[in-house]
Amino acid sequence: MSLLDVRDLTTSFQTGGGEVTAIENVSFSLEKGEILGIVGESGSGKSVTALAIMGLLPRPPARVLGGSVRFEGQDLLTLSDRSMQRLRGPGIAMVFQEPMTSLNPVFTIGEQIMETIRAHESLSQKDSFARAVEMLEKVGIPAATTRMSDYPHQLSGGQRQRVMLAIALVCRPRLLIADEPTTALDVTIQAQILELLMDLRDEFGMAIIMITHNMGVIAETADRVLVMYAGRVVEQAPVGRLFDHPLHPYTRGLLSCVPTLDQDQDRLIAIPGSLPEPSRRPSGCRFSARCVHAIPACSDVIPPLEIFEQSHAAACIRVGDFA
Amino acid sequence: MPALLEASGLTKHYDVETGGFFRRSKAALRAVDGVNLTIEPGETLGLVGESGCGKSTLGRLLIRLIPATAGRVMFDGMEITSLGPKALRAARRAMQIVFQDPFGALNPRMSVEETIMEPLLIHGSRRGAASRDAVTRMLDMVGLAESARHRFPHEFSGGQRQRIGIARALILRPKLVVCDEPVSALDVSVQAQIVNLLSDLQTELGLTYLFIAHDLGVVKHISTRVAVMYLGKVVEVADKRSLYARPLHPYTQALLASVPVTHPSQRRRGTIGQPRITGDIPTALAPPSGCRFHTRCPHVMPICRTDEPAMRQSGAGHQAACHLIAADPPM
Repeated sequence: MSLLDVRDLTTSFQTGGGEVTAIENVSFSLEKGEILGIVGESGSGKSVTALAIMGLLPRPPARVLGGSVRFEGQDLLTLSDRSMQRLRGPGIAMVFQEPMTSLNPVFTIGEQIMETIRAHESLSQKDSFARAVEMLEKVGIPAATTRMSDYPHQLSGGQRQRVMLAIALVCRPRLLIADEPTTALDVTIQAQILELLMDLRDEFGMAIIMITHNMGVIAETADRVLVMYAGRVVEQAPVGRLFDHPLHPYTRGLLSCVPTLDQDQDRLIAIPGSLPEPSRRPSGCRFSARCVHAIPACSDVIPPLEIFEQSHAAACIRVGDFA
Repeated sequence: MPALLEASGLTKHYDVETGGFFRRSKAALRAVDGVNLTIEPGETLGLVGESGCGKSTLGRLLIRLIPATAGRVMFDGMEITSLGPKALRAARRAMQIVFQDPFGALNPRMSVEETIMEPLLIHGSRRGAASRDAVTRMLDMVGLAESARHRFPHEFSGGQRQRIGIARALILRPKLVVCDEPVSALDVSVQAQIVNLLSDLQTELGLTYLFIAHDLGVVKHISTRVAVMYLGKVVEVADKRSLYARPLHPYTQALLASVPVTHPSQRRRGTIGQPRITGDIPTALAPPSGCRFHTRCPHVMPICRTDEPAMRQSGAGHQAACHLIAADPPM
């Protein structure tokens, strides 16, 4: 049994212009200790997928139209709010992109970590304090005991993200969802946080869903990758295969449009056009309007995610032509 | 050929109030602190550094969008730091800026035509057929449809809005364009379009760019030379190839070592690679003594804590401010 098994997850949002689907038929599974990268741009549905798993989509306006989210065999979509709350923390925890807005400015970081401990375990004040200090040390906050009484504004961006990680990890979750955890950080701090995440994975054996728009972060951390575009999974592969043999034209575009340090090109290979608004997604393959390989058949039906080889799947009717 | 722009001792201090409500005191935030920099005609000078290092402030100082606390800037043979308002406005024709946020930089109540035409009107052109033709040429040049003319910013995607911002900056045919993080607010699949557009326009119009960014890959792609900033100081300047192949300053080395790998097979984890730097960037309110990087530097020596290193030449066109560098013998 997989740690997490998401099948055909479909959600929508009620907007001024009617109901718009956010993600459609998203399916993937995750094993214990595995790092799954979900890569996509704005509107791809990667954050909505994470919030749906956590049961944190605001309902209304959001609605789960179908599918299942099985965590250790239990379907989270059918759980009561109370049971879901018990699961968040020791079962699944999440860190967000913006550590400043995710921390409460009027409580010390110590209070915020201990609040999480107390919500799930009956520890004495003294024990939960010790546990919080231990966790702060683990995420690399120097002088942890004195920092316990600091307020969020007294910390730098990188330290705040470490505190967020401490709150997320203090109950030893089996699954950590990290939604763009380093996007707001500078590159030297990003390297520190990514390394910390990998170390904590090794130490606690937790699984991680790493959500990012940055292929470098994927290359640095993921075991397996899910590529999302306009609400759908367009490709799924082990990380080495994805970088060696990307199949979907969108994945290939993403990999070649970003200038890297080890290549010299006169001109970048740009993906034409822009991301479609959720209410204005093209028919058929969502990427067809921007795809240089598109043929008329591409806009007829939505291509299913098909396995090609070695657990490598792509949703493109022309994949056979590229091989 | 003489430099298009030459800055010397350029400094910008902001007075900020520190302490609590009842214990107010004033301190100087040293955003830019004694920067010397030249920009050659036709080149793209990349300016990199982490948030708070002063790179955007420096970009604005160089074209005098904000006044300097000290130092001077020679632009095209003219000292712009002491120009009066009238002469400054005339000089501005030749220096324009493209901002990071294409959502905040455009007036939502102005149509695309008005937005792009406004600089012409400010500089004395009349709202006539000639100005409208100029807008038409700009729309074509930045890859926007003629039909965009009467639409408003909110009707466009981020990439298209950035095209509008570029058209507005270029309609006066400036010599120097400061591009302040022009692609970092855009989705990655759209960034390449804008980078390519900026390159094409540079060739077509003979532009000189100061390209400010934190993305070292984009900077490497577009720049001729690159300057690295840390806490208000330029710590290294070099030809692009030289800087990326042979970074001299430990900060530049650390920055490059922090960039995520491009292929999973290059993961450095568990291997003994370059020492990663630890800690955060100190505050510009009280920058460290001596070399400002000494608090995070893996190679720190006693002298670094007391003496500020001067810029030293090491190889053709490659300069860095670090006590570890043995200067080239004087020629």
